[in-house]
Amino acid sequence: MKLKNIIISALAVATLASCVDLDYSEVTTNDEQWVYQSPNYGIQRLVTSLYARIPNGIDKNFEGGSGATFAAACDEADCALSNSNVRKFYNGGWSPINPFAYTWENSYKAIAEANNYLEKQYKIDLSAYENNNDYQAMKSKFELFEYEARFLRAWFYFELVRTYGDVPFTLKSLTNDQANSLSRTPAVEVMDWIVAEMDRIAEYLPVTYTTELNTDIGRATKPMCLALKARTLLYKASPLFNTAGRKDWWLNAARATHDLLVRADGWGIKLGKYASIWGPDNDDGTEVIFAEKQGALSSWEKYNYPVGVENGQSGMCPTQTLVDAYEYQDSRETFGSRHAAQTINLSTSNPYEGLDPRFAMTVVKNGDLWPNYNTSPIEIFEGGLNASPLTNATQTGYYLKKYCDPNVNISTNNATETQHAWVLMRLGEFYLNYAEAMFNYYGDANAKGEFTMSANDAVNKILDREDVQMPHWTDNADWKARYERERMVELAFEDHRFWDIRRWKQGDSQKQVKVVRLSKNQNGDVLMTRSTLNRGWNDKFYFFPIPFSELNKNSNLTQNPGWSN
Amino acid sequence: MNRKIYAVWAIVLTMAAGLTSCSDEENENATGLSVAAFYPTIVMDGTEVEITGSGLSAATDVVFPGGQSAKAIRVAGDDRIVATAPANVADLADVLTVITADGEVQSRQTIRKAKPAMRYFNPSDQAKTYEDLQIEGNDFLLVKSVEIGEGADAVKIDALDFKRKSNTNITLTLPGETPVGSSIPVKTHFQNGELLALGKLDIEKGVQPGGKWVEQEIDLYNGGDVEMGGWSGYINTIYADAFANAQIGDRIRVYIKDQTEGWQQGSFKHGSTWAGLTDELGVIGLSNEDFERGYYEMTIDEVTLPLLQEAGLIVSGCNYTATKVVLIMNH
Repeated sequence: MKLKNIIISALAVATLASCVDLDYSEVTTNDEQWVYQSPNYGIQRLVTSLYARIPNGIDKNFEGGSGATFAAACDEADCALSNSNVRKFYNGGWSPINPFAYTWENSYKAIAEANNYLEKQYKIDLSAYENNNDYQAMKSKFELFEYEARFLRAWFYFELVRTYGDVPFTLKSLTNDQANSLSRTPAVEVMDWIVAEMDRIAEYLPVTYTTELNTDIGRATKPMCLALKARTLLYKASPLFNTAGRKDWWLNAARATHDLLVRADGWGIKLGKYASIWGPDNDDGTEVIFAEKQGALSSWEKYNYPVGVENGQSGMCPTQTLVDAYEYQDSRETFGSRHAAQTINLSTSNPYEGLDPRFAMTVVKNGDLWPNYNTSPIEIFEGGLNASPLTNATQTGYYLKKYCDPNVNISTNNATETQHAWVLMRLGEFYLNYAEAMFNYYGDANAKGEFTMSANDAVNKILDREDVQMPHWTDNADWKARYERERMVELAFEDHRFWDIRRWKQGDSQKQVKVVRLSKNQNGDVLMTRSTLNRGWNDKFYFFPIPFSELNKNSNLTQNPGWSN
Repeated sequence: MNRKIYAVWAIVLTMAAGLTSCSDEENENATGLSVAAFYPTIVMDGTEVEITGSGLSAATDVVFPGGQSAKAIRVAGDDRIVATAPANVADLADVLTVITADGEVQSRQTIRKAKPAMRYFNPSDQAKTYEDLQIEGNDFLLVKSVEIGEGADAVKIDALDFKRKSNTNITLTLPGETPVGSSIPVKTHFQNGELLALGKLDIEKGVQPGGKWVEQEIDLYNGGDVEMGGWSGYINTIYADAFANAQIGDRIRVYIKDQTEGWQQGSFKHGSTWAGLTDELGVIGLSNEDFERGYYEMTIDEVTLPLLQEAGLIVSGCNYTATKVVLIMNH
């Protein structure tokens, strides 16, 4: 649901002590009958409330706010703000007492709202509006609400299993006592339900709303159902959930993803320019399957523009680990392998020349003119305009470009804002998902099996973007590691890496994050010196801890392995 | 693209942290048995109905309107069962009843037998491939696919590939391979295997989006390079059956390379007599432009089509190398 000027009621409401009917904070005189007879102010709001709960990287991050995203909780980025809570993911501050409970609380609230709507929708009575000019449009819209609510309920269950593994599972509204007696359903069972539910509802949702009587955007569609099904099956097949190593689960993931890919073009979903994935019109981009529009803002730029740019806070700084993953256009060599030397003189050589064009679209480096209105080149060397010892200067050697609109001016006297949308699902992810599933099943990146394209074919679709044009992949050499780097590059800062590390069970890779320090030598040359940041990792981090407050209420809940209370 | 953007006020539904919401105790009996919701609300014989509630794992029967018991009950949890609808559920909407050894409870929603019926096609007179067809009617929720045509020529469009499906409308885009002609039969297949004939429709060929007929290249020969030399080389493995579906207007293209010294000539010959399909096609002068373009070709007409379908094709010539021969169809 495209939501403009969403205003959340500021009135806090009392928590439910027992089963009560819907309790509205705004107009206490409106009862349930009024709600279900009131199309716009009653029924529609029940569904838009669900959309409003969808997490995104702009204003509903890992703790339900804005600022750092999951990128800074893994090896994609380091948060320059030393007091950011994101550091708790690796500095020992994460525990069942400080559990990052937002996903648990927000998802279950959404699921409760969805269950409640689905149980009460039979009360919808639009008979009073039959003579309205827009009655057919109203009726057409409301026919879809059931399926939208079911899609969103499944979306939030995916959030839960990805985060916690086994979780309490119910499709029914519950009393406090009932809710606090649920035990955890195995993650794979919940995933199977998500897949089956998507199969059940996909055919009832439109491909697009542009041909509906109500041309809204951002509402649940058929492509979203296929995409959520495909993503769920990929996670299910991954080592974190596929504990028995079932190879056929990869085939299931490939099939579901292929079902989406072969239909995408006919549905108007196509790969476009990489740079079009973000920007003022990105939610209307041809590649986007599901995006959460945020309206006009500059918070992302304020948080992530470099210190030294007026009002810039540095925010999330890309790591050398990410930079090392980019390949060169003239070979399959990565930055990391070509420039493994401890120190590089940036004044006498340009190690970034010829690098994958996505690097320059994602990362700000020393010497870049950034953002568009900044006339001084970015200086990241020690003592430079945007560097240490300035407070909050980058510790990685880079600043973030991706998702920033360089035309947004955050200076006090000339501030501007532009539209932003957080991309939740896009076609590029699913070409990569397909490649991963295919390689894991067939073991050969050129095998097509029962499908129309191989793993390499799928990767090459991404590389063929108009503004990328990287050489095609043709063989199996070092394929898995290469794919993981390509995925890190393509999906950088889109909140995939944090979860990929977990589902691949590669937590040890997070113990050291590569960075670079820039300094000037006595000749005035800028030297780039490799270094590392050490981070804590414990295998218990594969899943979040169940919040202590929940374990306290429900003796049937068990904690995730390794997290003691 | 017109978009309707509306400002909405989001209601915060008040819930305690966790799953607590609202459980309707009015529908729960003393044993804790309740029915909260179910889908779908119209059924045919064999339709699976997912029922949520409480105490459902003890269900021994689910009774549909008309007093008909479920064919089967599958327990997915204490709060969820799946009941298979029987035949002969009543037309009139009524409650669903879940029965256990200790009691029974009725749903608040109603359920009834689906009565699929067709009202009209849109367009009603002449539909076109690549264009939308709307089917208006009632109780289409359980439609699994729409079949257009009969026998081997029929095309089946699955519900997942509909543009839109609601209880009263199915909108789909007729694929390019939809059979064309007058009185083409249209029927729906339901999830339980039942069929409903919707009527007949006149269908004509439309234009693929982009304004061009779709062109597809079908290999006639792709077995490696053949040097023609001085009329010594030839390709004689293109038989009559390769042209079984060819039509007037289709083209035969020979991909070429290696323009050698002297005259370069191509040739399309009768598959058994070795005579040129026509005088002009028996000896075709090849130009530099042909080699730059990479091919030479002929268009099938009312004279050459029967010859090809009778005896196939031989490709020959001199002073060039043929790499591939294809049939280009635009239908």
